[in-house]
Amino acid sequence: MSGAGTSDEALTRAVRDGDMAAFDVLYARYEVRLFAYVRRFIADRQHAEDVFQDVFMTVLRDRSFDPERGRFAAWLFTVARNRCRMAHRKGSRESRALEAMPRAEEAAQPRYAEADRVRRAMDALPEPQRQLLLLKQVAELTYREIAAVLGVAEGTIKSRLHAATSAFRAQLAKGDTP
Amino acid sequence: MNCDDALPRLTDHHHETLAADEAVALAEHLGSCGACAQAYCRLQAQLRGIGAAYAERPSDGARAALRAAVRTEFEPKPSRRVLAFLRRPIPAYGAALAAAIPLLAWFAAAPAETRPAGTSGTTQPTAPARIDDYDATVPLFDGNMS
Repeated sequence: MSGAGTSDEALTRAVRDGDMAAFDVLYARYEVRLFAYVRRFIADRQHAEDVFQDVFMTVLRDRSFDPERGRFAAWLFTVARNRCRMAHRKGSRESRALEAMPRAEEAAQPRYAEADRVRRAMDALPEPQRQLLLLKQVAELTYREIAAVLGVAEGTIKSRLHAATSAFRAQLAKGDTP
Repeated sequence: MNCDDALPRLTDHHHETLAADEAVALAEHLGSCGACAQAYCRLQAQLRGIGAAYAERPSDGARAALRAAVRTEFEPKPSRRVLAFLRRPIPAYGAALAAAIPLLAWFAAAPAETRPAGTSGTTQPTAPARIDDYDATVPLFDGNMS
């Protein structure tokens, strides 16, 4: 039941029946994707972990989500997006977006310098474009899933993604020039 | 397809939003043009860089806390486990075996003479068949056969 090839929806049903092995598989699939997405919006790591757990539990607990009909990933990231927006509205210090990601000790290393360059380029994008790239490249969602999360047509997502990619590359190029 | 046509299509090719014939033509061009192939690799690396820049794993403590919460929330209670055991579907052979139990008990308990013929457990000695008007001392033939 809880093998690597099992669908997210089948795993969700199994977790709800108390199958902890199914939970382990589901968690492994989404821990990095979901946490990286949440972390982009919540600077404080502890707060981000709380939101991460809350999102996971909300989706598993919410019986209005029918695994037979809905896509687990789309639902998970819809809840995550809403939670992150709520955190923003609260305006707490912890929920500030990671503008420029001030991680001095990391930035000193070349590997992290490249990551910092990418983050700066992403931070320079308008929020809708940044959201789109995060959902595609970090959350690894399909066009259909992104369309469900953002509530727009799949065709619109494709054209917007093209624009967002071009804008991101332009920002990267801008960062390269002294 | 030449480079002027290929370069503006690299992003859509990466996102797999090109029409099938365009994607094939672009792939053929990338196979033969080093400059465009390099540009495509650069694009892929830049987009992969977004995932790498944000990749972060929650702590082991967060995982353990979430796992414990899930276990508490969804692990079936003992009473529910018993109920689930009782409600589990019984296979056909199981039902057939269950139906056979009272029949076997009846065979074991019932006296031999009440059982259907050929079903008794032991072989009883039986008397030879009785033939009327037969005397074994009388020869079958009197010797005068003609």
